[in-house]
Amino acid sequence: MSGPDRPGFTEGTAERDAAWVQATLAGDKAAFGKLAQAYERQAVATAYRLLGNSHDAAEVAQDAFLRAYRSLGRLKDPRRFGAWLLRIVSNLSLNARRSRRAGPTLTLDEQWGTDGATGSDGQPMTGTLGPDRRVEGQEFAGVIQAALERLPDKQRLALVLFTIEGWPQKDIAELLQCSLENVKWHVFQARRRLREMLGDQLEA
Amino acid sequence: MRIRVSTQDEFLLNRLLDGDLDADQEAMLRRRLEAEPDLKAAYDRLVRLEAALRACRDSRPQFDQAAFHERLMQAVAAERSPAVRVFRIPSPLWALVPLAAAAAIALLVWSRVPGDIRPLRTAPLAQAPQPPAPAADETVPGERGPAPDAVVSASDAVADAPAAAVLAVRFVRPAEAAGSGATSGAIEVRFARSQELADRVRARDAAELAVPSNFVYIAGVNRDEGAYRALLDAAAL
Repeated sequence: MSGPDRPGFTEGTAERDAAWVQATLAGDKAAFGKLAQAYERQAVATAYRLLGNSHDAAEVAQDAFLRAYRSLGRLKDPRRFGAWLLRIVSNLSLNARRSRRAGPTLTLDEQWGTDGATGSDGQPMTGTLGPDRRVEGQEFAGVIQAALERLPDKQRLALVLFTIEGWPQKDIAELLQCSLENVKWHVFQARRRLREMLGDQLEA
Repeated sequence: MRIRVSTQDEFLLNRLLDGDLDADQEAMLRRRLEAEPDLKAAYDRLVRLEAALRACRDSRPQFDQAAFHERLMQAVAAERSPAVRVFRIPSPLWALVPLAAAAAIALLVWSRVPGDIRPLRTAPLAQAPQPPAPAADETVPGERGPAPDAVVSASDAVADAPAAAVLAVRFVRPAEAAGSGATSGAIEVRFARSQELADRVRARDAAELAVPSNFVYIAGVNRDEGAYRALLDAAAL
């Protein structure tokens, strides 16, 4: 797993987060600032995936951090601050989606690229959406995003977090409060539905 | 293009894509991919979908982290500190908790308007043709003389309380019986150290024989003699 915004709540960060949580509870607001810095990008990115636009994502992420701050004393395991925060982000994002069912405002001004999946021969499939197909790729990404919007919440969340955000499945299971097998099933069902929705657009 | 693949194979292809298969399973599936065009087409389509999704990974929201952080910390600065809210009872007071609870219940019942409240716990009130057989010192008849016309029994659940528990069951004969000339009733008090309590209950009953029927249950789980007496005093027995 690579990329700048991969899940920050790994085993290695658990003790660090727990210390910051304890310091925050002791009245050290700067410690919460450190927690925030560690998870801001991830929180905004997660909200963005679920909401579809940057402005709403930042609003939801800020709301999530404030709620986390106010409720920090109720966090049972300070080592799991990251998963807990992103659960708040996800829930607020889903609530925001439900309250504005009119549909997201998609911004297509970001950089698009590819990442290596492997083909049936086991070799990386590079160039599937290469630079020469950037415009085409942006359009297709818009189509994908629109299709994602139509997935049931848990399927979309599982697929977005696993495939796009690169979360480990066990963390998604914790977030969705379900088993690992359920996560795999949600991802499988989400891909299946997407494939049905996209139809011929996925043909080579 | 219509591709026919079973759900089971489709799930296997997903597991292959996610690296969930062990080496043997993967080798077997890859052999099948070479031999089965529909399976291969399904996998290639799945891979194209995955590539398209992963392409979305590189679309980052327009996000000024410094501005976001500053705005967030300004909001946090305006918040109260999220102190841990833990209610602690000093350890010596723990012993008084059941006592206080029992006394509160007893006082609540004792301060009743006669007939206005239901018993806290309704013990079976049965017509007993024969007086209940005393069981050692656990059963204390309420009145001597005529056979009791009613019996108050402790429920099994209460009888399961610890041996040191104090249980008082106060029975005052029913109002309708007050004017009927009936003078007997029965009080059953259980558990160790209950004799003193039984005596007090009987004395109280003798003084208030005319009040409407009611029950008072007092249960405590305090082994301290002083607390036990305080319980009795609190209940004004």
